[in-house]
Amino acid sequence: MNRYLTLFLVFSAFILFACDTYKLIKDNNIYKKELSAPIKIEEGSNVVYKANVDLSVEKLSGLFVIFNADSLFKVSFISEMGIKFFDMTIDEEGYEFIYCMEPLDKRIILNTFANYFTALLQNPKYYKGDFYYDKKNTPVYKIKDNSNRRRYYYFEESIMNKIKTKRYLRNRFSIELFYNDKKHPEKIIFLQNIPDFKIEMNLI
Amino acid sequence: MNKILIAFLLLSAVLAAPAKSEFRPVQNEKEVGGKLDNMAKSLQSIQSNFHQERYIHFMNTSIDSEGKFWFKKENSLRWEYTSPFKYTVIINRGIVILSDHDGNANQFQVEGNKIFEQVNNIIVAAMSGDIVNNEDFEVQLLENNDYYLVKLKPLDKEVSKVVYEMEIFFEKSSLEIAKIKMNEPSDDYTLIRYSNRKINEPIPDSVFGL
Repeated sequence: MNRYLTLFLVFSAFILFACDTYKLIKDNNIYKKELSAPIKIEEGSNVVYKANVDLSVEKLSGLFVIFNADSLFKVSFISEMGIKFFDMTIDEEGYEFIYCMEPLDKRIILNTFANYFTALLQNPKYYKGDFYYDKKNTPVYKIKDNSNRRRYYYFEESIMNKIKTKRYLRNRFSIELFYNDKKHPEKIIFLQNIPDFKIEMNLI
Repeated sequence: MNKILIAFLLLSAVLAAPAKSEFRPVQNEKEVGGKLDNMAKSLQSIQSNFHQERYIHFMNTSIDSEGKFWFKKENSLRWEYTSPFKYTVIINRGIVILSDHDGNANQFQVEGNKIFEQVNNIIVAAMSGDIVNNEDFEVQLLENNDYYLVKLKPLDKEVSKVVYEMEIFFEKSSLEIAKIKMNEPSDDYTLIRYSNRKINEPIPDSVFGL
């Protein structure tokens, strides 16, 4: 019996500390007006990021080329020397891999890339959500995405600087955005714990 | 009326004449193959600038970059991008070193890294020029006024999924490699043009390290 009580207390304490507290911002509309995708690409144009990708079993570097074709985003990952790793498309309905080099063609890896770029390219306005203040009084826009994963967009002085996603109690991944007076984030760092993935992208 | 006739004749003449860039099968395949083979055998090192154009059919766009490269037989390569990003790839004695502009370096063996093994095989085959008798490819020899063109189709199924066909352009005057085009099954390609080449000049071993 004591064992169950201890387990219950440990579990309760875990929940208590694991859950962040968020307070609804009543006048949401002021913030909602400023909502846009973290990477805003004009139709018919592209952005290129130089990236280091650490997928635990595979370490790669290359270029992510992201192209906006009439609200269909096309993402290509190629090595610096020109060898293609994958081509994918993302729109409001979901994602599709057109090509993927064999060593990367694993569901867990493809899902990670897809979730990551969906969070970067989709305008959070597409989902119903509300603005909250977190513990530090930072405005946070909270949504549930297509796969029922909670996504949190953090803002500092009306600039989005972090995205976190959660599913159940686990922190699935976080994306940090760094700006330097440029139109697009100059540096983007993606971190995921289970499995350990890290992607660092620098705008070129 | 005469003006129209002259214009028509001129246009016909232009259309009838073979395009300068049109490639045709090499007449004396044995002789040209022998020349290219001798050149490959005598090649000990190359230093050159390069301009790389990566065309992505999927997006109808291309990404350009440039830098310098050094190659020394048998299998030492330094590929250094200087613009629009700084990045160095060194392949030496089966070890790959990748280094970015922040000085972060990553080192691993070619063997055991599937992706890099494939990339390495293709690039070294292209750089060394040892291609005419290469058993890893189906070889086709073509020419136009300026170039000999060697088309290589990888026989390995895994490699052909990455590079469907490789085109190596040799200048007829010097038999030096002027450009390389790597075609992918998706109609994407990478075109690398070389300039300021130095052939068989000594390259210190330190170039193939950080």
